[in-house]
Amino acid sequence: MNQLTDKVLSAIKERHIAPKPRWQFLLQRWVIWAAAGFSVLLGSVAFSVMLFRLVNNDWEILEQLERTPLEHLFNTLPVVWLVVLALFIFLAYYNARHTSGAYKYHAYWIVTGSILISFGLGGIMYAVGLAPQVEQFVYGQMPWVGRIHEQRLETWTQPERGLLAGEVVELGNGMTLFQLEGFDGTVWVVRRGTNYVEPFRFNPEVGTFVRVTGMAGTDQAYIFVADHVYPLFSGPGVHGGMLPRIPHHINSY
Amino acid sequence: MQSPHPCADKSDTELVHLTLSDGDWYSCLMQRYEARLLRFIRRISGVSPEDAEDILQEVFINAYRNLNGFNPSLKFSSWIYRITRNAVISHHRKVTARVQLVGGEGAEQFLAMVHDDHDLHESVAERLDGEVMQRLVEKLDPKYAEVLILRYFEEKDYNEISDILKKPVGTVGTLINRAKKQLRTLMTDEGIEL
Repeated sequence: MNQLTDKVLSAIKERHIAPKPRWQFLLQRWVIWAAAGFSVLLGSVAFSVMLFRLVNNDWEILEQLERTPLEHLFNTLPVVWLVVLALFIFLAYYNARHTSGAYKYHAYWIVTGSILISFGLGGIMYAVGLAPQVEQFVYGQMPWVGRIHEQRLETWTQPERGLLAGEVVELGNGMTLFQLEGFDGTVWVVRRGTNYVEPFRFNPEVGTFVRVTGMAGTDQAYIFVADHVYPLFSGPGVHGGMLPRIPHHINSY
Repeated sequence: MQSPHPCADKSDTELVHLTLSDGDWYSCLMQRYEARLLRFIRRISGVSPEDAEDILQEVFINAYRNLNGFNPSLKFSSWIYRITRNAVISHHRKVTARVQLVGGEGAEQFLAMVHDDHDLHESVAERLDGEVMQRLVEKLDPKYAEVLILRYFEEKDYNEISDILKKPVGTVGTLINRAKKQLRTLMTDEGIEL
């Protein structure tokens, strides 16, 4: 053996250096993969909630809100969830970069892959109704994240602008569709207007939360003439047009 | 002294497995890579032979410690070169020196190979001595000097360089092309006719 080899072997023996056990390397790899997977999973959850928010974004009343679709999108952008999504995509990328062999792929592909997986999984989570559960859980923990829901209730408590929402408390017949208790506690009689369009695949029942567009009656108090009736919240996992933890009354916050 | 074990007929991967059961086999791997890695260390760092030996000693000890982490889907040579490169970077961070290339007998060969690869005039290589070469490569961006050394001195293919630098193969190709361009610009600036 030459001098250097000899020195190294002597150092190994004198300093009692031994190869680190294999399980340490396996554990390290597992932790990195698990962290990457977990990040993608949380990114997917964020995406599913964003989908839920986008579906329940009052696209039907852009005219009343005097906004273009793009203006409305920017006004109602779920910034917190976007940040959460971006953060977990970055974490997924960061962890994936540290897996063995990931360096062979350009960062672009790893980020694109993380985004596509998050979108795909997020879409599935949305479809199975997970998003409303997450939305409610987060609202319970951090009400400021769900402030947009409260703003939405305020938006829909403007009968003078033709926007009314609340809980159906009694079904009507003939020209009267139902009686509705608004979020400010006012009970309205909602009547069928001349331009009334039957709701698509939606049948309001007592206890259902609805949004109604139309016009408040001018000569009779608390009569609302409806053009359209929509569920307040819709999508997989929503029951009765409402999320139980979201405030049911405008005075409650 | 010779290694107590017959090394020649064993592959690197076999030697890794044998070393894990009997540490004395490690001498085979060290002897196989010692000269190559010493040259590599000196080429990318310009350290003295003594410092290069110190770095290599730490490389071998570090590699031994992490032998169970060696992934057999990778070439052992790529793995040990990667560890060596990291050790050189750590050493340089300590001494805050920049990557440089030493001149000497390899310099002309290096330049000639770069030239061949780019259909440059072979005669240019002949006009350059080690000192000129050293000055040129010292001026190269370290990341470019590094890939050129790996490609033309160490004769690594793109996949091996990708494994050593932990960069995608496409990026390695881009780096090599840019390195060649920068080298040619430097040669023009130096008045070396292309």
